[in-house]
Amino acid sequence: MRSYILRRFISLVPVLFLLSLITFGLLCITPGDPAEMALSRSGVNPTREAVEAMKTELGLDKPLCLQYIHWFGKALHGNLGTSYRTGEPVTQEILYRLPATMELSLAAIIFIFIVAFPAGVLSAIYRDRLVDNASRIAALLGVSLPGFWLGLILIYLFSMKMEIFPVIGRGGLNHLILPAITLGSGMAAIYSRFIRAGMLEALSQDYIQAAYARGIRSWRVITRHALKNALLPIITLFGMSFGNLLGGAVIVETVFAWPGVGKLVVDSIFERDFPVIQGVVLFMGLIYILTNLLVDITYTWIDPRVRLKRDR
Amino acid sequence: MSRLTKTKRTVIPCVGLLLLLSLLSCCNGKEKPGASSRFTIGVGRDLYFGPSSPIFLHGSLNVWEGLTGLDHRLEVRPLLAVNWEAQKDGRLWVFHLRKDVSFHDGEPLNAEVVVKNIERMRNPRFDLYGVYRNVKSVAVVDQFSVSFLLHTPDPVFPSRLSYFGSPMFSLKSFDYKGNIKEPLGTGPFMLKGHRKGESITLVRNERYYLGIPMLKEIVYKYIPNPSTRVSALKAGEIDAIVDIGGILPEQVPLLDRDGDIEIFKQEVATTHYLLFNTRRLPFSSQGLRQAVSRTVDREEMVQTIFGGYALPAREFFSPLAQVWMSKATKLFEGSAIAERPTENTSKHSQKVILVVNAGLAKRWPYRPVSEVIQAHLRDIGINAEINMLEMGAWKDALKRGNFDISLCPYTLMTGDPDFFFSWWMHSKGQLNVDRGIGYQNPVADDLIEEARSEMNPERRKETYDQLQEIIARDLPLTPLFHDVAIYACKKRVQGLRLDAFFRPCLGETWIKIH
Repeated sequence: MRSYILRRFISLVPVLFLLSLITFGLLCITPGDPAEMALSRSGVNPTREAVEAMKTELGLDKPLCLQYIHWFGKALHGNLGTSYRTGEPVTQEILYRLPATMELSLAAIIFIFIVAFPAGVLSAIYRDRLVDNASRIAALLGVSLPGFWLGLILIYLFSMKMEIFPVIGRGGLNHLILPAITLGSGMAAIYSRFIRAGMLEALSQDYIQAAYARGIRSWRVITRHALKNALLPIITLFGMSFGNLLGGAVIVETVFAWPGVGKLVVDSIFERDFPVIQGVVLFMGLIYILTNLLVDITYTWIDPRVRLKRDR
Repeated sequence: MSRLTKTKRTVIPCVGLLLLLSLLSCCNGKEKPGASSRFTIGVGRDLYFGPSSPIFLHGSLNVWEGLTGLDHRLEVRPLLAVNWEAQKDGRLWVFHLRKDVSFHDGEPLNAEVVVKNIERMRNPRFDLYGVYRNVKSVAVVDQFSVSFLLHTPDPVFPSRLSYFGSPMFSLKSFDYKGNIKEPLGTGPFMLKGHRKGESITLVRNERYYLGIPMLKEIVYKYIPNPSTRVSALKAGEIDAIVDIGGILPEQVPLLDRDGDIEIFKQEVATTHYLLFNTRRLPFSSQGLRQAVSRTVDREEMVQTIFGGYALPAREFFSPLAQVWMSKATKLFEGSAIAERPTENTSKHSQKVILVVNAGLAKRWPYRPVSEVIQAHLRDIGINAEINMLEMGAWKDALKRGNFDISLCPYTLMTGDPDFFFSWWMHSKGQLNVDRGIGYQNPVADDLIEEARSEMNPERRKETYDQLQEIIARDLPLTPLFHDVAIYACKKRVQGLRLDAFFRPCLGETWIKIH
């Protein structure tokens, strides 16, 4: 197991290198002058002289390969450069906002689990009955409603009409509820359907019938035997969807004025702040890879057969 | 025992997750919103620019000031400089400073500090407008007087120094490169804190030379989504929305229904234009440009799309600059606005590309405006395809000439026509080139250069009249509408005003306590 984890960590290096190279390549072919965009932020049209001076200062007058080598050399030492827009260190910009995005994603995950597990399990148990049909309709709505629209509707209902939650910003737990629901609703719908399918398959297995025959209580059979076996595909899905959650946070962060990485990267893309985009892609890539590593390790915990196969 | 362990196994991760969440929630040390008497403004853009910007913070924050300012008629007025005079036929300008001004760190404003600020601004990297290209040298005359020696006479040099033209900071603000590490200006408010991508907090400057502001603390909240911004105002989480494109015209009825909110409008120095790519067919044809300009019904556009929160453009630049208006622009006056084209446009019945900047469309209703233009063009046999591009791609498309027509705003920042003609109408004008218009007229070039250094006001006015006549005939661009800024606040907010450059005048704002 230890060597497996070590191998995975070593494989991080080429993956992140390729990721940064592809991102850099894509940024280079994107139209728009980063120096001009940075200077235009104040709302004025900068002179050509100002743009040229800015380009020289940022090193944008050098050949592209040199720019990349320069950036990569610094990145190896943990320095992701400085933001073209603000002149502040990229690492500082990202680390300042990362807690907000992580907080939102974690809250969305909690919401997903709170909603999807009961809905999925109950739908499987009461297959084709009222609960299942209601859950199916709710899931359909969950995946169909666009995030920004749902967010605005939630603001209208819970912030303006009922005055329960605040409209904007980051603060206590009450600030988290609406953004988390908005971010998690689509995913909760998908999860609930996956859990239902997994549970239906598990419940039809012989060992479940055997458990019932042994006189084990129904609820215990469902939670201890069926649900545990239905979890494997859910964990795989979680590994895949965590990246989507981080990406999906962009819209939610914009609607709720949530100061996270999503909003930072969108602003950076529009203003061609290449170092910040590169930095965020690396950070997100790293989080995504680590999450999937964690998922793989969790497999071995839930299903010992996975570990046994690996050990051979 | 085993049941207890299982329970622990379930509960401990959940508790851990909740603790982590709470920790993350608290790690920013939030204050309870609305707990203090502070004034909160919602804006749609991040007004924090940081050390790489020449000004660090946007001028709307009232943290820094220039030597001069412009009033509502875009005429120059004293600010940090109390008066000024031109010598040597306009090649030497002497500015006399106020003697009672100090920076936020307590350092006094004097000629030496101004000279060092100007020397910094002369670095092309910081001189965004190119104000200082014409400055040969700057020197201290006495403790409170500064002189500028220019290469060529400039009749409107004091106007060029207004607002972004001459931001003054304490010398302690700068690092060795001239970048601002802390914005210590002279404005009525001082920077207290900044939360990246979220808010900027200001406190009042107790030493402000025009009197202590009534508001103790101001928080600018960055709320990019227009609907959320309005919801936050209605819910009372912010006290006002005051910024460029802060409230869209279609949102006015929604705010109007709220008895606790007051809506204001302010004519600003921004005009919106329809740009033509004169370098290629079909708009290389002057007749067709005139035909299009006459076909677009500006009055209808203003009424239907803006609900009256704009002015149909009959002039090439903001009518606030009344003194420079010319009768030459009668081309756009009255019924002529909606006149049918005189040129047979059927020969141009090909597809043209109308490129629209999606970023600007968040601030102004450019999408419906472009659709109205598209419909008008169809009436005269021109089939236009609308292409929405984000800011970088839009600039690139225009610069490369990959468009036929486009929409673009322009603010007359110095209040002087030279700021329009030199940038847009001169064959080497930066926006003429960069926005892909490609207008070339040697007569216009000569007149622009002549007017730029003409010290006689009457002769200067005549030259600009002539220029406007030429441009009205050539029409490399045509004005569509003049901007009217919409801003709103809770009724308890008093004395909130907006200037012609979208900047709130916060020094006179106060909150009525019930």
